[in-house]
Amino acid sequence: MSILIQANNLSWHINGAAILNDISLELRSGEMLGIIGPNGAGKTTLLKLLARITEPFTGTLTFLDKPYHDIEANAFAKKIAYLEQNAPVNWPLLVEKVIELGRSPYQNSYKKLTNDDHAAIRKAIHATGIDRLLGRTISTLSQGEKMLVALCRVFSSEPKVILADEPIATLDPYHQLLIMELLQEQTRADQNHAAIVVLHDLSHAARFCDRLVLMHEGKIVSSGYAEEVLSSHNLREFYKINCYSDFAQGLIQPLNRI
Amino acid sequence: MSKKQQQLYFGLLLLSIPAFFFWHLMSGPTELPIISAFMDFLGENSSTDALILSEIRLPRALLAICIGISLALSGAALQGLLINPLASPDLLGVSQSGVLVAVLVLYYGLASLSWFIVPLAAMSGALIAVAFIFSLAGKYQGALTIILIGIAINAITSALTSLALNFAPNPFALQEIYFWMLGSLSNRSNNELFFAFPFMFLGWLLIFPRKHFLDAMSLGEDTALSLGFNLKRQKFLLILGVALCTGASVAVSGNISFIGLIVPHLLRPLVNNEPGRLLAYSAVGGASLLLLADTLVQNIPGPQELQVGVITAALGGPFFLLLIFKNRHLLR
Repeated sequence: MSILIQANNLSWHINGAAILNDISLELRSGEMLGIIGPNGAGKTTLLKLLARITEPFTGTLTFLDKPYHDIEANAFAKKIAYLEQNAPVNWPLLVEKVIELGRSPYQNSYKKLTNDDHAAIRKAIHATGIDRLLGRTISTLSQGEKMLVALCRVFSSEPKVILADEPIATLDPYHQLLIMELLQEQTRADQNHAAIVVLHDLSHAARFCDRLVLMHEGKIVSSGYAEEVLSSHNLREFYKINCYSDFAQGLIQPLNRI
Repeated sequence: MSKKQQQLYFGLLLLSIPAFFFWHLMSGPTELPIISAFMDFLGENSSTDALILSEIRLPRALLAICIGISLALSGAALQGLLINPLASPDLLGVSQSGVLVAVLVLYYGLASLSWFIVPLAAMSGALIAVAFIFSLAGKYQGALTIILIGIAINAITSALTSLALNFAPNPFALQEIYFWMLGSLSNRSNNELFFAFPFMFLGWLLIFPRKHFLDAMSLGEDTALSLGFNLKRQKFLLILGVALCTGASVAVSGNISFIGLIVPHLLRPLVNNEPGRLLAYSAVGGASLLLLADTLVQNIPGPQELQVGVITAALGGPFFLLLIFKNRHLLR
């Protein structure tokens, strides 16, 4: 089992306030790593650092033992894909155009889509099962359908690592399960694939993620398997809630605030 | 809109250019037998007709095409970059800022130093305005913020231009300055065409290859970054392209308004809202619309010729109101 992404002592400040403080984590091949934590813990910021969207930072970040800054932007984009929270689309584009944008790292200014591009797009559409949405405008889709299209766009880049920021926060239960299953399938499809997912839903985190990282006030306060990270002590200490937990069923039900 | 339909419309737009071009050549204060004039011109037979064609009509028509392309392309690029259908070089004060710097140069008499001083001034003015808009708007490029910044820049630059007019040392300078504010293509010669064209062409070369980048910007800056685009570089090249196109246009024709707003907006449905593909369509549409407007100006009967800027503003103003009305949910 090789290590895909290795982060050591990451810190990030804005206007003197430490948003991330001495974060170290590793992403192993074949795993889905969940980042959880209360609002304002720095989850999104961490994901953006890992996606090389937010720069500069202190500490070191490597992908397959190569420092981030030694990897050329296009090569990086082919390996690591980022799925933004709510997956915004600012113009009412056609669904197929949005998916096509996933091939951007493989294109230059003048080339049209190649056969490889079309094959990757077809494969992504097949994997996400969104044939029925083709030909529609993105603004006419439901939030769940939009997220499926965004996921399809990410798949069409054929990335090794997917970094997803709260991909299911605004979705109905059906689409929550569907998106999590698709992400899980993708990470298991190939030994060299992996995903990091920021989640608020603790049940889904326990059920779908191989390992969890719990963040609080810019630090990682706990990491490991769901049973350890989501212990009633941690939930009380950092989330300030009492929960009913049944890890065999993948069920963490918040009961009351402390 | 299917691929076939898109190609059909693009073909029709392209065909409209030669049609309007010939109509434009035939329009003017005197009747011109185009074909014989053209024959004379080719045969190097220096008849009056050939002279009118080569020195007056042709440069004006070609300028209309180049400026139409440049303004519409700038509009499409700004709208794509700011993800805002209400953006255009004139509404954001980019054109007006170009006018101001050009006026200052004229005012201080620097224009006589070299032929490229005025276009250079207009382009730097445009560049300053775009850079200013981007630094002010920053990451929060809401529709309202951008429009308000545009209003402010327009107000400031217009006031300063008026101030320069007030202090104009002699009536001759006043006349020269007045020329910038009108937005007209009449009495332009080959000189204007030759000095503006290289800058516009460079602008086109900077804007067109940013096609995929503008498409990716539809997904927001973060996702565009994650798709491998160098945001700073791409934005800079686009802004530079817009400044070159707008500045060079302003330098020869003054402030021809609303082309940059209307053309991309009208053509957007034809390209399924894709900001990248919209560039080529806008370029062709802009050339066609400005040729048509400038032809109409010459064919409207009256004691003296209307300014083409008057026509585009008269058409564009109501259109802009309609656009605001349709987008008012965005502006809240």
